[in-house]
Amino acid sequence: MNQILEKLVSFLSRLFTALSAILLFLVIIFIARESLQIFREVNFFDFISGISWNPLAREPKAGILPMILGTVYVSIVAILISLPIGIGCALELAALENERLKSFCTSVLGVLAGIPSVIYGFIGLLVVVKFLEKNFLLAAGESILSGGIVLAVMVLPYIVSSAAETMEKSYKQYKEPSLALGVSKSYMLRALILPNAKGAILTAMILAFSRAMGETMAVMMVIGNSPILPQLLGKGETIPALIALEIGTAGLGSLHYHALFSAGFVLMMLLIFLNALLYLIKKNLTENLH
Amino acid sequence: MNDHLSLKSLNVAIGSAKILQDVNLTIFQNKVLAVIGPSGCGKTTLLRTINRLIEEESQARVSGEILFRGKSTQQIPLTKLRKDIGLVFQQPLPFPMSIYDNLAYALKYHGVKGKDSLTEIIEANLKLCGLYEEVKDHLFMSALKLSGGQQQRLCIARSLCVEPEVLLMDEPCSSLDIHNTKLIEDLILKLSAHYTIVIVTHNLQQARRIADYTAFFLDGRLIELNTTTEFFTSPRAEASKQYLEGLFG
Repeated sequence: MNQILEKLVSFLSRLFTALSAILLFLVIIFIARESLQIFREVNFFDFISGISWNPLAREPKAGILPMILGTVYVSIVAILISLPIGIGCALELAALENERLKSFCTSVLGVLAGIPSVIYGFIGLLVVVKFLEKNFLLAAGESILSGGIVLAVMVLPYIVSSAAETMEKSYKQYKEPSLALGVSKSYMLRALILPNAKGAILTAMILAFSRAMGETMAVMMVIGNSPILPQLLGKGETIPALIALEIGTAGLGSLHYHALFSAGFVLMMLLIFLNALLYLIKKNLTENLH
Repeated sequence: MNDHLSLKSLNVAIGSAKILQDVNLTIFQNKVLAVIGPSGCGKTTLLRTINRLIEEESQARVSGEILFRGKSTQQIPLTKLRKDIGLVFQQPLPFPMSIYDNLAYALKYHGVKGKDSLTEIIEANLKLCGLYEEVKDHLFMSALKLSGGQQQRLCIARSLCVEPEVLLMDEPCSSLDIHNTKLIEDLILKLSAHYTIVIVTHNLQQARRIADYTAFFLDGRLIELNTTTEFFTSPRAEASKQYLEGLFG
């Protein structure tokens, strides 16, 4: 009886593992199939490097370079803002001796991560967009910068939690030998804990970057959604926003429809590439250490 | 003979457990003091109280006084005190960086500048600890790649780099083989000309080989402080006699 049970469990676990791998493949294949059709009418290079998007015109134009750049731009702004804040937070959290305060801070971060993105979008409209309109005298505050600021807040919890874990571990391990040499805690954080967390910070950064690139709703609400080449204080559009805004009105099987799928395919490939890069860099880092 | 450190009516409790009780102990300059006693008698806590590392534990309460060169350790800034009184741990814990950086870490904090002076101090201390010949060609290799014995010698060199006056050692050889133990014992004998050394050890033979004085602790109290020769040939306290005979341990 036991043997049968054991075999069953091992069979099921293998099946589900295989299933999740197959799922990824199916997603890629499905999106690819829907998107490849457009390349009968538009050349792939023109598609990713074209700067005008007008798939419904008499002479349809499907260039998504503005959206690719918008996606990357808004994500880079978000990381530039959130990375220093996040690393500072993580260091402070790792060195916090007061366990109750620490668990309070951790749960606040958890709640922050759990707020629906549409709510972040509201706050972005009310606070960030208004602030930019008033203080930078912009005609419209919806811009790459406001998208970046809203996204920075959204990815902050991910950066903090994935960096803090490693930092806390090495802080606990090396605290006493370090203190015994007569160095201060802040020197230890700067000269030992921070450099030792290089790998974790990199992981946190790429994780946050992937999340930022895929975020749809909050960004869409504050970025202005104009398919033009993005500027920091000007409007822009991201790939997820483009798809979410237009897929409902795109005729099934039309060029517009396939162009949107292709845009999604490009986004997915960008993310897979980023994750592969992360894997390679991490492997390299750990090999250097041990 | 100079008193380098003197402990006066020292009591240490962690939570409700009394770890050290009414300890009065004088530690002489440039001598090796071995601290022996059964497990749990407060030997490690004694070391951690001297360099005030014990105060990092929120539950710890310390009363009494420790004089370092005649001055209460409470009046010396923590970083200065711990620079002057080094501590070598039981488990070698090199930092996850290169051999060179392990030693440069505290030196940079304590204001040693310039690559030349750093390298000079680092090489001198590696030589002193007998590690230089073994690692001179890969100073920039990760210290985690060293063997256990090499790691412990590196940790001693790391403590010595910042020029302490007193070196506290908590069973530094307990996880090492005979060869590395011998190397470290020879090192301790060599160091005792310039440093005051307090070594906690479980190994009575080791205490006999390297210590000028021996302090025997039992249940958090100092039972006997004696010269090592006298302690091992004619101990004064009854408990010491029984411990030496192996009646408990």
